[in-house]
Amino acid sequence: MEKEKREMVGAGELRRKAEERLKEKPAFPKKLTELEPQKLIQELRVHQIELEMQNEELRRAQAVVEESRAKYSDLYDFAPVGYLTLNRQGIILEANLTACSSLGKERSFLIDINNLFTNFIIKKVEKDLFYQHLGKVFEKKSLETCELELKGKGDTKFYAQLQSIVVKDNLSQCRTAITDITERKKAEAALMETVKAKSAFTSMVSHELRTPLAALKESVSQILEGMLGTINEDQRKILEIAKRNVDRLARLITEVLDFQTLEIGKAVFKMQDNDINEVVEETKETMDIIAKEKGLDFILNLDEVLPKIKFDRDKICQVLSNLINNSIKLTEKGSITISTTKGNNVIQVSVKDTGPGIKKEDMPRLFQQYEQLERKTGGTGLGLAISLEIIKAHGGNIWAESTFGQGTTMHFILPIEERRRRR
Amino acid sequence: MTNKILLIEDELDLVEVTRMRLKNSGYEVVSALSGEEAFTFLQKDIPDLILLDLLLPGMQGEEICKKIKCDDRLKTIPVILFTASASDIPKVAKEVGADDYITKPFEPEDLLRKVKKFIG
Repeated sequence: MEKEKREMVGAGELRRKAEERLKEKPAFPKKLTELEPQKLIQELRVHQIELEMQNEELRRAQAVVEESRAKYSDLYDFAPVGYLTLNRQGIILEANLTACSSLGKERSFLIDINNLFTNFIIKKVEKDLFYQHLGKVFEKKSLETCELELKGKGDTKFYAQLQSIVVKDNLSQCRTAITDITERKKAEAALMETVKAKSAFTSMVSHELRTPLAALKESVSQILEGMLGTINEDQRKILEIAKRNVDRLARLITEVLDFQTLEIGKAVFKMQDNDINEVVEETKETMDIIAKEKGLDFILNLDEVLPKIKFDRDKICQVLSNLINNSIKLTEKGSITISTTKGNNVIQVSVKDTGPGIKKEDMPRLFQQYEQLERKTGGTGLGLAISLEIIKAHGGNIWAESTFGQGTTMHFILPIEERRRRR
Repeated sequence: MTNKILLIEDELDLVEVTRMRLKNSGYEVVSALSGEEAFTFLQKDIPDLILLDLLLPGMQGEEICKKIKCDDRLKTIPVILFTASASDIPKVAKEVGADDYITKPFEPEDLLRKVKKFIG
């Protein structure tokens, strides 16, 4: 069999080769008749045209291939991430232009036979991390990821995420994508700083506001109690106003701190078996007076056969007080109804009022921190945000149902079985 | 004999009103503005109860409490933490070996109830 030659050859060279090949073929078998040469010439012409057409076809096909190769080569070179081909030793075999520009080197330098990728890793411990990464890539043959700090152009450095996978038809090589994650790292660091600053600010507020408040509250209380001598009725009235407002300020500070603690997941939950009806009844009792003062009916509608479930009694009390308090504050006439029912693996508690209700467009703001739909009630706007965090930490859910002008029902559910989020 | 309470607190106004409150209930109050001052006092005298603020100049309340609870001569004195930072105070109290805690601003009844619990 003749070997097929794929390389391009010049026209003269082609002619010579063709003649050589012809010599190997047997000569014409017989003498030609008069008409036969004309017929042969005609056939040769047809062949020649056919060949030209085939040639043209080939050229076109080759152009398409070239174009496509150029396209993929461009896609490879100018991809938004750097691509490297590495061997098991970590020697760089191939690199796209993005990788060259990230690492600040010419391609010829990068793919030098002695150029180890570890030369670009700044920290010794991260070089070890890279070799572990490479080991995993070749061993597990899965896509592996690691994050390193790399040397860039000149004296610069950048954080990179490497994603490597073994080359399918060459198991001794892997392809590694390098993504610059410096901005993400910076954003993460900035976020950490913000969280730290917020936490520091909160403890500052905690101490710097509460300490003077304690002195103020004690001073007012001591005079009010008559500990330091008798006071008259007018003096008592004014001091009671002072004390009431000191207490209110103290409550507001406590709410801000409570929310902060819940939000960063630092709150401690005392989960114990509790009877939800008992908690509802107790909470109602403490709020009976304010409901009565406003002339509202306070109705309980409890399912008497509820199982005991695990929850933090004080915190659920806080949620209930908050919901009932909101209802009482906003309802001018009518009633507040608290009901408990058993659902599918959950206990549901609902607080229903005959207040003004919530507009549909206000619903999404309901559980947001520092939001107050009604300014007149005076608060931090944290009550429902705190309630949401507490219920979430119990693995439950809290939501509102309301038709504007027809009152609001706030519901929350607590799971009966253990499927709580750990905090 | 009057029960003696050592109040370790750096806010003078709060020292004054707390002293007044406790004096009115029949206790004798000695105050120290820092840990250093407190230990100088503790070298020559043993109070019946210690009310201890956490955020102090110099030695912090946590450290003061641990030091008291490690000292054989002092460790039986009940220590009540007296603090404005409320969030993880039960945990802190446990860690430093305090006997109880009270958060500022406090209810007068709470303060007296907790003090009475230890020294009647």
